[in-house]
Amino acid sequence: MIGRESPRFSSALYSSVGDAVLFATNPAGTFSLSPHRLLNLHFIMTPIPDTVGGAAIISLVDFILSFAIISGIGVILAALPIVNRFWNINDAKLRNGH
Amino acid sequence: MFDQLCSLFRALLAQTGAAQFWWGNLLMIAVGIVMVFLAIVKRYEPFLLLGIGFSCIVVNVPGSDLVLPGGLFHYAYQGVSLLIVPPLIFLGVGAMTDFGPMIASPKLVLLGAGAHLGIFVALILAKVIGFSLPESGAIGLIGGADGPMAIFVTMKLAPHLLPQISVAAYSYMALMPLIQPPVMRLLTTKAEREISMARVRTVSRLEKILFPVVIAILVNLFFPPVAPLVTMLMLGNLLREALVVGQLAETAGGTVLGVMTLVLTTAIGSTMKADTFLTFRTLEIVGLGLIAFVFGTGSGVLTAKVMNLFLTEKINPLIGSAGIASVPIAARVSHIVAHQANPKNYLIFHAMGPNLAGVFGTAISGGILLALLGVH
Repeated sequence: MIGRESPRFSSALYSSVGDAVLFATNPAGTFSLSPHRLLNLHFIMTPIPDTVGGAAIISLVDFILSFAIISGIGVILAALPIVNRFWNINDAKLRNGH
Repeated sequence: MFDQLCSLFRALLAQTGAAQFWWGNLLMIAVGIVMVFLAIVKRYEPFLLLGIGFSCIVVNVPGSDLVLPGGLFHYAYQGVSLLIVPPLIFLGVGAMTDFGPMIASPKLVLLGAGAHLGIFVALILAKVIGFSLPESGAIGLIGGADGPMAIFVTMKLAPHLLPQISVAAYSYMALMPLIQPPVMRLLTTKAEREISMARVRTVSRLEKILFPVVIAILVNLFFPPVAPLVTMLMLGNLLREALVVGQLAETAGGTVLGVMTLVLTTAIGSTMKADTFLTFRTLEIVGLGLIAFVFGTGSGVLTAKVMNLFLTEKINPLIGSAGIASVPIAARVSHIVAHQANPKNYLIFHAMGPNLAGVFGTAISGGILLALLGVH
């Protein structure tokens, strides 16, 4: 069967945004709290049907998520130059020893 | 007496490989010879095609012990099927790769996502013609143009399709200089192909050292299915960028990569036996792989054109096709096509940005696919 369970969901950090995302993608999902982990997701994922429609759903979700995640990487890369204000590494010192 | 001698020789002959030879073996040997020809004479990705072609020839000579359990090619295949070889190849690739172009132009990483539409077109078409969803996912990943990633995902989703998918993926990567340019020219105007791009900023050593650490943390946190590959890619890159372990970086990018490439190509070629490879399914997979590459090239170019609607400093849309992960082949193709349109244009550095982002794009697409299909 295509689909799986994940561990339990607890953090308040996900209580709004996380709930919305999880519910939108898993309308049959259920949530419960656990004190043991900072971020602990538990939901029963609706199995994706092994049909052309299922293939289309997977493709659409994957494509959109890929864009979103790659954009996040782009944001991180755009922020990387900030570290240059705090430290400058000399290539020659690295190559020749400290 | 004569009859006895004849029957003795017939019995001896029946035990040789020659007695089991059929036209399929001849055809696959011819395929192997073509691969070796393309590698040596045309210099199409000789590092890949030479090993694949030679082992394809050998494995189709009946009686060869190399592919039987205990044979050398058998163990080479074990290295691939147990997912040991692909991460070690990524270690070497990371040690040879300068991610500076990608770090310097963050907006170009979007092309690494845009160029992966081909994966999903092939996935849907594969499902339409009758493959199962996991099989379709594995076939779709051919469009990512990332050999180790395609092998990695195939072993998890549809290991029985490894021969066809790996041959399609590596063959199309080698043929990219033939496949991509017509699509790129069709979707761009001459004026667009002539766009020059400004020099990008210099990336500091600190950024280059932090990059692999940050990415390794993020991938292991959010994409555990593909973490082995990307983690080894980042380890290799850290060895290179730290500048304090030059010998390790050279070993990873030289000897280790060379040995693993040999093992991988012989393993892939050894799966091209006529009786399992010469099926209609193989033709379907090869055809779907081509569709994935064509659509990926087109979607990358179109993504760049869409981005230009919002950018004051335009990007040359030809670098969009470099969002396909085949490093550095796709970037080189973008540069060559742009150079043909405008001899003063040197886009290789710019094209490397989306090309490198494509590696992450394929990893992310593959990781999400594995997660959606419930595979660990």
